[in-house]
Amino acid sequence: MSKLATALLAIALVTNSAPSAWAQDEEPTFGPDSGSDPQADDGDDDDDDDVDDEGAAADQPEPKDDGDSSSGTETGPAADATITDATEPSRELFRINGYIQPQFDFRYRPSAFPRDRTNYGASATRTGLIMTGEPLAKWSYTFHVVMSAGLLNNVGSIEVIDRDGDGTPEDVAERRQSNPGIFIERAVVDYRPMDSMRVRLGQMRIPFTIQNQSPNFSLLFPGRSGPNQFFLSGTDLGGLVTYSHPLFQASAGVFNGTGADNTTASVRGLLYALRFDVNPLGDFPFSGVVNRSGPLRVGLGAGLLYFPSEQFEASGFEGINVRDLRASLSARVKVGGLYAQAELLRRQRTDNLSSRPVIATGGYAQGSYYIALKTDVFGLSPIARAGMTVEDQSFEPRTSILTEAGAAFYWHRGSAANDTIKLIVQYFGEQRITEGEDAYGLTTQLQLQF
Amino acid sequence: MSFLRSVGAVVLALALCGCIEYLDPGQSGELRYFGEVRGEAPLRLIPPISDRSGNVYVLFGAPDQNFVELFVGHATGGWSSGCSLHKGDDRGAHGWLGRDLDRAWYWSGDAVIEVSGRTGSCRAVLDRDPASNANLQFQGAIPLVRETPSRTFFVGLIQSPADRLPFFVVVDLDIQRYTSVNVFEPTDASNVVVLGVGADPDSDTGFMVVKYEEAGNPVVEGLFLDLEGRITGRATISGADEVEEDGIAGYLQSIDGDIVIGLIRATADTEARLLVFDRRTGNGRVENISGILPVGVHRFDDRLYLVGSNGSAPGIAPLSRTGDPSSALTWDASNSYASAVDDVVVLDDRSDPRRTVRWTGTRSAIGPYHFVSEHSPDVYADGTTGWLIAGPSFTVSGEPQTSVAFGPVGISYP
Repeated sequence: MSKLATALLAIALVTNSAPSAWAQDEEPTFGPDSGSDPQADDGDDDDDDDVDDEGAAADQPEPKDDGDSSSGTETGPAADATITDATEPSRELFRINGYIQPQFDFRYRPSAFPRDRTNYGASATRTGLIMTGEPLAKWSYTFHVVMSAGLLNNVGSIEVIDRDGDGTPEDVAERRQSNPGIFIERAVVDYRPMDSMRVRLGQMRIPFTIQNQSPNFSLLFPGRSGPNQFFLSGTDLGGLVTYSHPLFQASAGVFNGTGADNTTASVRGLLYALRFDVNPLGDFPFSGVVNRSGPLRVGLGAGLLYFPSEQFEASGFEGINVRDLRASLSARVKVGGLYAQAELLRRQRTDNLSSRPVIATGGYAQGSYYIALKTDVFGLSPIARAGMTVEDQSFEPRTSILTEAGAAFYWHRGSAANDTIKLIVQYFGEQRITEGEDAYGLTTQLQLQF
Repeated sequence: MSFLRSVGAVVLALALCGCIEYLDPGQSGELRYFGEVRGEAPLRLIPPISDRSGNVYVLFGAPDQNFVELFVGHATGGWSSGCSLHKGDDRGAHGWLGRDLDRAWYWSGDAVIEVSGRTGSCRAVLDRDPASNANLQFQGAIPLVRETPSRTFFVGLIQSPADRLPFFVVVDLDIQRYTSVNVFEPTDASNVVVLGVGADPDSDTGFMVVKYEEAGNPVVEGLFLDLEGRITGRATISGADEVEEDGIAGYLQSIDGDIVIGLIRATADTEARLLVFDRRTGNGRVENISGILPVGVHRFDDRLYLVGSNGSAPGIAPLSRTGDPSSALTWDASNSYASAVDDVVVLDDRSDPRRTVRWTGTRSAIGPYHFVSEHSPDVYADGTTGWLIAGPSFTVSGEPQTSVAFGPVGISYP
């Protein structure tokens, strides 16, 4: 990792035409943009999120897409309502920002074996590096990578078990180990043919929900809601067109649907994504830092994912045809320092073989209230969230309820739109209603942006 | 054109927004030909089970047959076969115990076998004691596999050759170990055998009918077990002293966890009889059955039914909560399905490329009529079960073989 960081820094020093701008820039260029959240999978193994083929969630600040209102940051730096950059004095060929997120977790699962009943300690620290630039007018790029010492949980070795010594193995035992990993949160090229339109190509998070439009680093909580992660997690490869207006925003995109390179995959198809948000009372960006004050605003939105695919057999012949449909409805409201949002999610997956549809329904609601302890210096937000997921509804329904509550403390630099340091202390509760198991925990996450 | 079709599908999905159609009662889904089994219909097959991923598991076996053969249908197509794990010569296949995301478990002879839906491989569960390497026999296994974030487990009754009495244990299916050991009681019992097992998933209660000797006298009891393998209730059953080991057809059923109902299989000397025992009273009884030739006790939508035939048609008699059967009715869903698959196209996805074959004059592969089996059909989807149909038969080396296909079918009970 250190060699990579050194190489990147060396490239930055050689190619940056205005190195002094970094020192003078008081605001990290974290733009509102959907990012993945390494801690988004509340209550689950964070490492699994990061190595998900669809892209792990990683709280990562996005480079500032000036005027990009399509990015959703719940508590990120200020973002313009449109994607027109009215303040950019000149084009920057290269800028690097980032963040570091150490985190401590405590989990208690009373029904588990004594070994697994209580878990506590520091989680793998995650580091995000964000490189942005605008080499040509109307053309920009973003490369956002997350590194962590414990991103990958691989099988390190296996051992054959022969209990009776007859030479015939009865079983195998595996030994797993955590390994450092790199996850690409975003690698995109943006083209803005006009101020209100953006065409984005590359690897990105699909703007299916409000939370998927929010970078990990700017979420209210250490991670995205469980229901959100259940229905769509990680990133995908494809293209997205976004049109923005103060009163509405629309996005349409086409993606691989698998989160991976499709040239050799056994699943073939294209995922079609639609997202529409309307703000009847006026401009209502997704950026949370903007939403810490101001007049009443209401936002309503809907998202749709449709993924028809064909799954081929290992032999190369045709397999089954699958239709995967996911829908979301969302509502947001803010007034003064109060901010609240809720989403309803639904998934229906059918195929031409099984006659068993896969159906899931979920939803969550969350809120916060920003209190300026010292204007533009310190801030505090009590936060709360509750969510529910019902999966396998057509077969053997299983219901889970998630509850979270805590507080976030902010240390700004220069303005309240810049969260240089964010400290979140959060209680977590998970009730697996159908399985009859509960889990409780406490998470403390520190985020330093640079 | 495919793009336009996709756009149209999206618009349609928006318009329908949540409409999912399940199979109507008697309506058949895609039939999948998985192979041939020995014999002619009705065949020695146990109603199939499926896991949460959509893999299906078919077990060729019977209580009086000391060998089995397993077929695994993968959710994305294709079949695996070859597993024939079984233990013991005196007992046959008892049935499926449960499933999780991509595994299923069956109990055959004195062994519990784990099957992978992803690969089709199988292995014995606790074939030997992990500590002493003693040969372990599953005298009983509660057909209730609990899958939780912490563990996947079930309750079993195990015994090694060195044990005078068996032990109730909780078997952890992930780490292949047992915990919560409780010795069988009364401790002065001897020759403990299991007549039948069952479970009520709603109350997390397991049931087991056992017969043992105490002071030289036979005792038949119905036991109630919790998920830790502890006995939480006992009922003395009168009139069942002559019932042999595994003499109960299919599994015991209950809708409240207190009153348990089962069917004692007919023998050369006795007809099939209804067995009912109650935790609250501590008593049980055996009753004769009239009006129907019974085959098994089923549970569907929190109701119990006695299924069988009247000799020429599938019959079904709803059971009251206390085990009293109503008048037998003709099972319309069974007849509807028989008509639906009498002349049918079957998908042969055992190998690639897939092809289809046409079968005429098909029959139920299990029992005298469709759905009429000792075991309650598995819940495959909402209002849908997985069933087996028998196709063409032929003779190989003087032994009859019958082609069999699996398919989802809409099911309803009166």
